[in-house]
Amino acid sequence: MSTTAPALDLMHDEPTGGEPVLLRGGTDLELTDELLAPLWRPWPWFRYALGVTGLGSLALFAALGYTVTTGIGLWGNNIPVAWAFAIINFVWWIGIGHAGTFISAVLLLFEVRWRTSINRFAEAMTLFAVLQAGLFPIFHMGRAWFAYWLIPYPSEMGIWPQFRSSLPWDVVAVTTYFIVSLLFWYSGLIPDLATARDRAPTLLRRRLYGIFALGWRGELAHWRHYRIMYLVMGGLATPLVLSVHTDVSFDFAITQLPGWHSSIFPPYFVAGAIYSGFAMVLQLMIPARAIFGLKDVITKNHLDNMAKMLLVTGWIVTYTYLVEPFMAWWSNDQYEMYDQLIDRPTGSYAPVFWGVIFCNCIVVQALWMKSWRTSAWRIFLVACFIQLGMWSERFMLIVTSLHRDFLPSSWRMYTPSWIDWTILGGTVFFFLFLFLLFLRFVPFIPISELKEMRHEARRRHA
Amino acid sequence: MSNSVSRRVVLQLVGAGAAAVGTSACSRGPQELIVPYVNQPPEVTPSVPTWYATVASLSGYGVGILAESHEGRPTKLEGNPRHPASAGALSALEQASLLDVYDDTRARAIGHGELPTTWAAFASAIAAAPPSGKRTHVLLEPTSAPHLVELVQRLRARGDVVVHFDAAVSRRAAWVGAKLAFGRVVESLYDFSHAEVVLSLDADFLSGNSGALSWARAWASRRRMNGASDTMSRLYVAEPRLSVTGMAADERLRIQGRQVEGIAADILAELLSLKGGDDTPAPRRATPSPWVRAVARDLHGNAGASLVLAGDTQSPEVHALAHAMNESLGNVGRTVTYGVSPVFEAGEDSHELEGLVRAIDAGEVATLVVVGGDPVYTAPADLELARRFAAISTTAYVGVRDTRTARACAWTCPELHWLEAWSDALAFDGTPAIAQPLVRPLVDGRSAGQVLVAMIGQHDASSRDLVQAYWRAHATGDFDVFWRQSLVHGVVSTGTAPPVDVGVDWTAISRILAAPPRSAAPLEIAFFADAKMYDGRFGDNAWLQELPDPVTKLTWDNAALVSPATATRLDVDDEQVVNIEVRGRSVRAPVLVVPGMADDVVAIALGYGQDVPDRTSHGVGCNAHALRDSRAEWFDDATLHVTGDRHPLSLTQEHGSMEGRPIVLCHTLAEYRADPDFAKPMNQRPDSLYGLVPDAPHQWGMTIDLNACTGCSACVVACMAENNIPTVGKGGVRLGRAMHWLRLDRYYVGDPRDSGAVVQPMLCQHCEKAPCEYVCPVNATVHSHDGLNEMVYNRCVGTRFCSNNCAYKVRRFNFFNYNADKPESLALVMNPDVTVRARGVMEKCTYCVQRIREAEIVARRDQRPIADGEIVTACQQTCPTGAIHFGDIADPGTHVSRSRESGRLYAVLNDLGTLPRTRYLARIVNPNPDLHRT
Repeated sequence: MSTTAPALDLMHDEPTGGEPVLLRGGTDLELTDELLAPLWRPWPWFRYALGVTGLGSLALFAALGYTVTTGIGLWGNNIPVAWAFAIINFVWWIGIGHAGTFISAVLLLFEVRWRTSINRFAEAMTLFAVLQAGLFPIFHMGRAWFAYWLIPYPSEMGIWPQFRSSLPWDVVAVTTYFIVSLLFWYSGLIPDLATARDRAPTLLRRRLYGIFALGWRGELAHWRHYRIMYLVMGGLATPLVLSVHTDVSFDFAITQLPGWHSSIFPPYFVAGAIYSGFAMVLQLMIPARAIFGLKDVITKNHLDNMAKMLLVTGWIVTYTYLVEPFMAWWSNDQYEMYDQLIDRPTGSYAPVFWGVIFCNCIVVQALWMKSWRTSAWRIFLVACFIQLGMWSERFMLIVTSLHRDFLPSSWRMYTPSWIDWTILGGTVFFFLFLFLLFLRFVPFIPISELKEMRHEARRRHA
Repeated sequence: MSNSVSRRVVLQLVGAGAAAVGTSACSRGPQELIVPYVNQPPEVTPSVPTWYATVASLSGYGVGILAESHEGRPTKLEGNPRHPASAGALSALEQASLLDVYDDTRARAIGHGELPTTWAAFASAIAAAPPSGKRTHVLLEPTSAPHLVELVQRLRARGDVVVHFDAAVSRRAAWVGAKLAFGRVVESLYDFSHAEVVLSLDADFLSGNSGALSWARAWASRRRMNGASDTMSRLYVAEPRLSVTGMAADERLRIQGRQVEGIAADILAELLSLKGGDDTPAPRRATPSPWVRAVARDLHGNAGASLVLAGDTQSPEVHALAHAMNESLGNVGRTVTYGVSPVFEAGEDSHELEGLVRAIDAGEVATLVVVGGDPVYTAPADLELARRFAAISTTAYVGVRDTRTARACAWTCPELHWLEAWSDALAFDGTPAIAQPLVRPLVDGRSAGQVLVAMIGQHDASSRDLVQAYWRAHATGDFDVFWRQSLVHGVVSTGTAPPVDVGVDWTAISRILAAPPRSAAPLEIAFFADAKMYDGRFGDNAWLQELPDPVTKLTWDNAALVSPATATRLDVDDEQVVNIEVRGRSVRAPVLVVPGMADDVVAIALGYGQDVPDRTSHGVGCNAHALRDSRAEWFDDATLHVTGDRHPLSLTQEHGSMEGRPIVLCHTLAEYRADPDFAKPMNQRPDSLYGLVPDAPHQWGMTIDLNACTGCSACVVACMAENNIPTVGKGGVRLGRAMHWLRLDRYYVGDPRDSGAVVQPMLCQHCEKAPCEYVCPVNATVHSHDGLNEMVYNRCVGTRFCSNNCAYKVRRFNFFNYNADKPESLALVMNPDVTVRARGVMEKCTYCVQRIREAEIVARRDQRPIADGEIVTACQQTCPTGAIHFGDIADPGTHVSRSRESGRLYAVLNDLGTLPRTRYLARIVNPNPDLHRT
């Protein structure tokens, strides 16, 4: 193997042309060792980062425990705003969780090569985001200990869930999504876990990684079955990208509430989900890329492609923002018109509305400029705005629709309590906590796929 | 030794002693419930309630009550249909006073200073003969109770006892006004059912005391519009603040309280000049206001079929003018008659506190015994009763609550709640009734009669003995029959008293008319008896504290109420704390802007700001009694100083405008006559692909007549008592978590500078296509075959999706375990027929499903169909105006079905296609066209 092979010539991603998706030269062994290095020696600040996020996670569980033992009254919820932070956070996290599957499965099916360096990142992010999201539908219930009543099981009470409601379907959609994402992520990991087993410095680690590698030996038959399975899983996962958030959108669309009762919600929610999900991948990837020195594995081409995705989904979201008030006006329904045309832009929560417009529609337009699309920190900044904007969008959607509905006698403001903020902040910490563990113990760049891509490219080059 | 105590006897004694200690520790509850019946009393069937008639009185006016008792504990109070002051209805105050029996912070034991003492010691302390030159003074609340009146007379016969009567909210002005007009005190008895035009001079006759329930019923009977050809009465109201009666007005004049007298004089002068004749006085003003002229013309045009009332807070002169107007219009004998006041010594000097104050200052008071009330807290501030009480050598207080007066007195004795003792009372029209106790006393207390008779030297009389002794002496015929019949009926049949014949003294009236009109004050303070606290006596009642004020929707507080224009002028806003200064005394209060208030008036409710620690009333609101002066009890000049502080107010309704939405349909009589079916478009079933399959023989439905509903809020308390609705406290209400299943929405309507208000009871609409049902993930809210939207508490997991999708927002969520932090004694007030809901579940109006099912069971047992009117919901039962109809809408013959044929019938938010079972009859107002010509 030549260590002087000019990388620039090799690693082109044909569909996007031009920019390389892998700049790394060196031998396979060197690449393997470099990508496995974080597993063997913890980086200096890991302990502190884990400690801080661990404490934050403890705060989350304390707040949830307090809520379950005392009551939902600890939150800011009221009548009419019976749903608030919990459902905002649920939709936000589950939305974030969409990017992983989109990147892994959809881009796999479309054979988009640049996904390789980032897909495991994105999948892990998905898993951890869905985990956060999954907390909320359970803990927002007044009697969380009966959450299993939403699952269709043959109970001795002889009562099934009520299938006209979207909530039992939420349970199905989210659990399916989590299980498929987990299997997809794990099956992608198997060859790399085997590599880790083979390269691990101590016996204990060799044994541990060996257990999780499920006896992978890299045989041809293994690879053949593995390839087929991975593609089938990608095929299975792809519709889930659409179905999960479609079902989540039904939590709103099936009601008669002004601002919720809308048939545009499924595509709008899916686009918004991918929007925030890509933003989250970028928010995690850009610091990791800087910290671990992966600029030649996660290249500017990756950033450029991701930024373009942001621009596309950002415009879909913007389009929806335009269609909603138009439809409200077109319907001539006074309640819809009040909600969309008066209350949201000029009412008590108008700063949230205009914040959403600024973060989700205006800021992203900077990505039309190539200089922004290829600057990691500029994209990071944009992604932060998008994340804030997408959370605020769910706040606007849920709270403004509820706080002023049909009868003005029940109109009332909503203010979150400190428990609400603790739970929201706690999930961010818990998410980062899990992500740190992932970075520490799992090969977070798909080593085998990278090597395979390099070989393919070299063969093509030859 | 043969007589030594054996081991067996010792063990028996030890065991008996332990049992005695055990039972004595249970004095909190009704003890007879602790052991099950060995021989069940024949009249008690466990789980089947028994009903007893009794009577409650407020400021001396009795209201007949039927009390529901479950195995010895009263759980709900309803009006006694046989009693003239009730006619089956009951106000929020009387219903909620049930809760006070179970208040575990009420006065419990007899004490002297800090130490417990005995009834015998207490009785001998108050009965002791005063040293020569001094006297024993007794301060009672105004009373009509015949047995008490007799005891007062016997007490006075002792020679060294002076008895006074005092109430912070009294009808003194009305009595003095009658004296002024007629030369003697009489009680006005109104007949609204024959009044075409009613003029209220600041009289809140629809929600006040004495005869309000029966008056509201009669007034509403002239407001029911079954068809366009029906006629309805017209109500004029001149008042400083927006009252319940003001919300019902067809024409309303916002005016400072002390200007009402001028308006009354103007109207009388105008009436007299319209009438003509020799003794027509000169007009008071060159040009009376258009309002005055229009009212006078309308009254004149309906002479003999009109009615003028003056409010209890107005001056005696206004009452005299009202009497003069009624006489001049020929209303006497038609819409108004006069009777003897049921209140003992009404309008006499014994009803003034000045006599007591003078006696204390002169050092003539050896012993002061205060029975009931809380004069140290409620008396005008300039009387400084707390300081004066300290100068008396022996002071004693007998009261239900632990009050500021109790703290100012050396001897204290708990008074029995009226549900714990025998008593009697007269209704506003003089009808007597006997009060029988519903529960064995929960405290070591005595009734007022027992205290008075102890002062005559009789320590051991029971309240039953005293009441029976009186009636034994006064009953005709066989006493046992009389006694039994009086208790069963809840009224003593004495035959109606003949009306008192009185004539107006026109020279006195001329003097009033000749007085120059008073000029308006820059800012007037108007005090008023709170709709919930009254004078403060209900301060520890959580049901009433949490009951929204009928007009402002304020809970757990009072506030300085000002009109929007005055708020702008004074540069104040909601929740801003102001310092109100009256005659050098000041109180800090938060501002609440109320459209419909008169300009340059600040109104403040009495009864708040009590400061006895550890009580529900502690620290709730500000004490307006501290601003009152004995020379100006109801209206005074005031100045307002804005402070930088803010005080959060808990309102159950924060938005007062209907935003142009068709929620409360309101038409004028002329519009209604032109288009009697105007509500039809909002009563039609929108096109739907789905059919309806009601498949049970009965289909329950409700109709609410917005023309009869006054917003008095009695139904809200009835619902709370019937359905075990918890209170959530000030913080909970502020967060939007009040649990009331039935709320009264109040919308301000009309010109924002001169608003009126409309009221709409809002409760579960029992939609046939209920939006809540299809979003529940666990089938916890489902539809019954007889058309009820049912809530299955056991199945609810608390996703709150149903509340989000409810267009009427009538669902209530148990955010906390609201019953957990309540005293155990409050468990006794719970209705055993209704589940007490747990934390985390949704709840809402059930149409009192427990009453429906009970009627079904009884009908099935008797093998007969359910009769129309057999099922009465709690709100319907207590509604004084009969605004609520409930029954089977599948049977065209029922009352509710007939009400649904009205052209006024509509469904709120009909366009949503929810097909609510609760329908409303649109409100019709009857403004005077003369006042609306442009």
